[in-house]
Amino acid sequence: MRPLTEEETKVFFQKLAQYIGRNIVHLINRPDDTYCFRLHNNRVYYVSEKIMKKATCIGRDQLLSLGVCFGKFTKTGKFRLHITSLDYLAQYAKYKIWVKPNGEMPFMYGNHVLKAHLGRITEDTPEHQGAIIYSMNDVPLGFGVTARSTSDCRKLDPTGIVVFHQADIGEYLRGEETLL
Amino acid sequence: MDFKAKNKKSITQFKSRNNKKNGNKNNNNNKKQVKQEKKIKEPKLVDNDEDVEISEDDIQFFKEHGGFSGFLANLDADSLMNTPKQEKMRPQFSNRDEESDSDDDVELDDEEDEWETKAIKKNSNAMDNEINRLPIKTAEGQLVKPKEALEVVELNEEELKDNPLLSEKQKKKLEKKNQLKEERKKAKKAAKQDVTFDDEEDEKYIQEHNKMKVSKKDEVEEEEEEDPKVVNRKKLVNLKEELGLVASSIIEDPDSNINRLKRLREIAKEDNIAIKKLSFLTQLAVYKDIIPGYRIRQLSDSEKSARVSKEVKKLRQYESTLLVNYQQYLQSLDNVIEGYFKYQKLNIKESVKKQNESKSLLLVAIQCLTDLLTNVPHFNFRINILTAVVARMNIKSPIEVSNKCCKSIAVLFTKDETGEYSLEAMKLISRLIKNKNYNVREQVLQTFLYLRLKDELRLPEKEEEKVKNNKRKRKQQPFLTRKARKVLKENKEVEKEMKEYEATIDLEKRQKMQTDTLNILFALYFRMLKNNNNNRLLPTVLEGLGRFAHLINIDFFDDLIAVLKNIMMDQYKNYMDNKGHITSACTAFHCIIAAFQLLFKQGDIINIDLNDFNRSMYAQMIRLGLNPNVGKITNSLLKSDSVYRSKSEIELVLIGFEFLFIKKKQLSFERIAAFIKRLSTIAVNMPVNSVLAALYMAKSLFIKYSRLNQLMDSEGRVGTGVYMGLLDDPDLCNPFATSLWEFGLLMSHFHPTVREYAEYVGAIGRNGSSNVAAGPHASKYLDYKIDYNYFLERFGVHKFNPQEEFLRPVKSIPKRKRHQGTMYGFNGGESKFLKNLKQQISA
Repeated sequence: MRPLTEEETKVFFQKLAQYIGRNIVHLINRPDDTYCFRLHNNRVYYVSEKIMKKATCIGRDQLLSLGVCFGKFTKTGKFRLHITSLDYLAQYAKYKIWVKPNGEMPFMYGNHVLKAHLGRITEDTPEHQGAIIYSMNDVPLGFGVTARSTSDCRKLDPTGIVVFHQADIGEYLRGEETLL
Repeated sequence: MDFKAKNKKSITQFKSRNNKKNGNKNNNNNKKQVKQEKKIKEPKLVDNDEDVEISEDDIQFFKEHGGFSGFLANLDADSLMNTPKQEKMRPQFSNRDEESDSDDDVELDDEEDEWETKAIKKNSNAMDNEINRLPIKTAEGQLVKPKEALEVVELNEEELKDNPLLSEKQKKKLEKKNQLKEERKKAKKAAKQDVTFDDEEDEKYIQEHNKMKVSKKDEVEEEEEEDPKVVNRKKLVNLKEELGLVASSIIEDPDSNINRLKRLREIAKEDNIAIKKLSFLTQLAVYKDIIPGYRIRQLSDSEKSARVSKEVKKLRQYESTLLVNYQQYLQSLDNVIEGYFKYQKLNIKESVKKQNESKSLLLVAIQCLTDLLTNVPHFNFRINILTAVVARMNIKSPIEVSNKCCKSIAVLFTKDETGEYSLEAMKLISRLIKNKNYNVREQVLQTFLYLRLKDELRLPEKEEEKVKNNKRKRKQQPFLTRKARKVLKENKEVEKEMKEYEATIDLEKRQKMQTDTLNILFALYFRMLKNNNNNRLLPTVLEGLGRFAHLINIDFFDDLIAVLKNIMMDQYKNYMDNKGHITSACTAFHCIIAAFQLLFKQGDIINIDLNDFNRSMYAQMIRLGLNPNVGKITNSLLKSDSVYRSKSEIELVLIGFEFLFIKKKQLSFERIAAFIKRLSTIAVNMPVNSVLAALYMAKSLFIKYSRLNQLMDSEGRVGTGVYMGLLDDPDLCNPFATSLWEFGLLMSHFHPTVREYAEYVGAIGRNGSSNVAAGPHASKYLDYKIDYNYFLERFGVHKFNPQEEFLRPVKSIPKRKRHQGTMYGFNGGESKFLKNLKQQISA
């Protein structure tokens, strides 16, 4: 377990900023407690300082996980967000997309979001921008990358793709063994 | 009748008057003279009278002449001096309104007569400039020297002095005209085709003779009276009586008495302001009554030459007389108005009394024009009235003028069934606004809110849909035999014809008119938004934009929302930098609501979450708590209706709440909670009516979103983390980490109604619905008529009286009373402290 290097922080924050923009500040400057990002086994964990200090007692091999896993660095050095970060992403999301009830299941099986399933979208969402997917009951379902901007969505035909799938809460079942 | 012969006669006539006027010294002599004159009828007699100068003679002669001869009736100081203006005015009036061009013969003749009188009078003026106020001959034939002549007269005299050339020119013109006229008259007598005209003339002569007799009688009577004041008063009373008599006779039987309209007009030329006003108003009433429900069309040449029955002829004559009189009435009104403003421009100082008088006359003239505009817009000369009224919508100096004009335009818009008047008015108004460089009074823009486009104009898209539906239906129609189809077709045709007869207004035509009106309106709005240099008018523009938002083409959406966002952000930036007028967040709220309305009414195609606008509204709400005028009620242009009046800030916020949370289901609970938390935060600082309105909104939110009862839970917090009350983002402030403790404060508010209502709303909040009996006051507040507007208006007065101020079930919202100058205080403003202070001082 170690803090992120400069390079790693840059890559990680760039990815995170795709989804929550400048709200990263709110992740770090929290009024209730101090939180930090720690790297362990190529995975980035978001953890309160208190827990982090306690975790130092445990050896590197024995420590399985701490705090909330945000994602992992791939072998090529890129960062990949995991579904476990959804709670925080949803709280600070910049662009939101609501999916109609008939589109919930297709998305949670790992498919892209189609125009026909689009229930609602934040105005001014640009193209190729991270967006959080919600059900119509405002429950976060996952996140993805927008394929079209809001204004383009208007003209799209019903089978066109609006959001490319990145992660969804179905992964808790589908990828149970690989999540950790 | 020969002009010269008439002259002779009238000169003698005039002499008699003249003598009477000068003749307190030698009454008896004069009487004899009069008799002599009548016998001999020689102009030479003029020389006998040495007291009077020749020029005055002339003037008086023509004055006199005008008094009893019909065709010189138009002679009066006003019109006389206004000649150059009228020259311009005349073609204006006749050209603009194509159809309304009255019968050529009649008009020309009238024109000539005016020319004669004016030119002659000018001539005399040129000879003697010192005499500028002429004695007036009243209906009773009595001569009065006016003490206060109209300013208009003076003004024009000065103009005259400036260019003496004018009068010479006119002399020449007069000669030409005279020749022309004589020729024409000869021709007429020979041909005797224009029967209508001859009839008219005959009647005039009869009237003249009658009047002459009357006036002679009067002379004898009135010579005995000496006090000019008494004379004046008596004259006034007589004139008033005559006005009433003539008017009622016309109204009783307009067909036969139509010619007496002229008499009304003559009275209007008196120099006395009161009489002038009265006669204007009398004419207004008469015209409103006798103007037919159709527009009088100009006769074509073939129609004129064609033979018609007696009745038709009579009707035509009636119509043409009415038209001519009406036109001249309008002109005289216009002259009064124009004269006033021209005079204002010259900036001449004068007594307050005079100013007031001319101002009141102006107001009466405006009143007449606006009344005609709103009551008989279908009649001829509408465009002329409209131009005159629209041009005065932006007048600043007597504020009543523009108020009246704006109001009448608003009334015109609401009454407009065909869409034609609105279109014409809009064209004129848009030109006016452009000319003023988009810097006009707010009220000018407020009139647009009354346009009947909101419900009546249907989008063409819907029609296309209908066609599509029809196609689908055709496919579904069952098979019919040939015979059955034939019957069906015939039936349809019959139905179509029936509809044609039924529909009084051509819908297609109206739609076209309204579309054009709408185009002008939006062009105006968009340009004003883009210019954006005029913050003062932005709220009104945005209000109008929101009102007609459903009619805006969806292609403009992105641009429009971008513009709105820009304005909103600019405004907020100014606020943060402490620039501009900071106290009011009205513009920003208007932007937000306009955006919501745009989206709400056309957002079916795609459901967009207006994040920036939400956030801006949330951020700016905190400012309301610092503004004491947050719930200030302003009056609307026409009625005391919450739909049309310009909205106060709290009202705007609550409308925003409606759009965000009530009309559509809001998905994010955090957001709702954040908004309601902030609303109750500012409610603690707001005036009574705003607090109640905010509480009402809280109540409806509690009922719609029952999960909000978490906020009313005093036991423990549901959420984790810390509530960040100062953060300007509703999604991040974590409202479930706090509770609505403000309700506790409001329950011990100084105002009893607020106390009760807060208790009631709090109970609903805790229960999550209104079904459960909520507190002891529930029955009082269950009335469905009670909404935030009710509270805003009912408690809008900044006065608190504990004896009065408790809520009673009221059938209708009572009219608001304005108490200006009273502060927050008990029993109508004066506090105990002040009373004590006064007592001490007096002691």
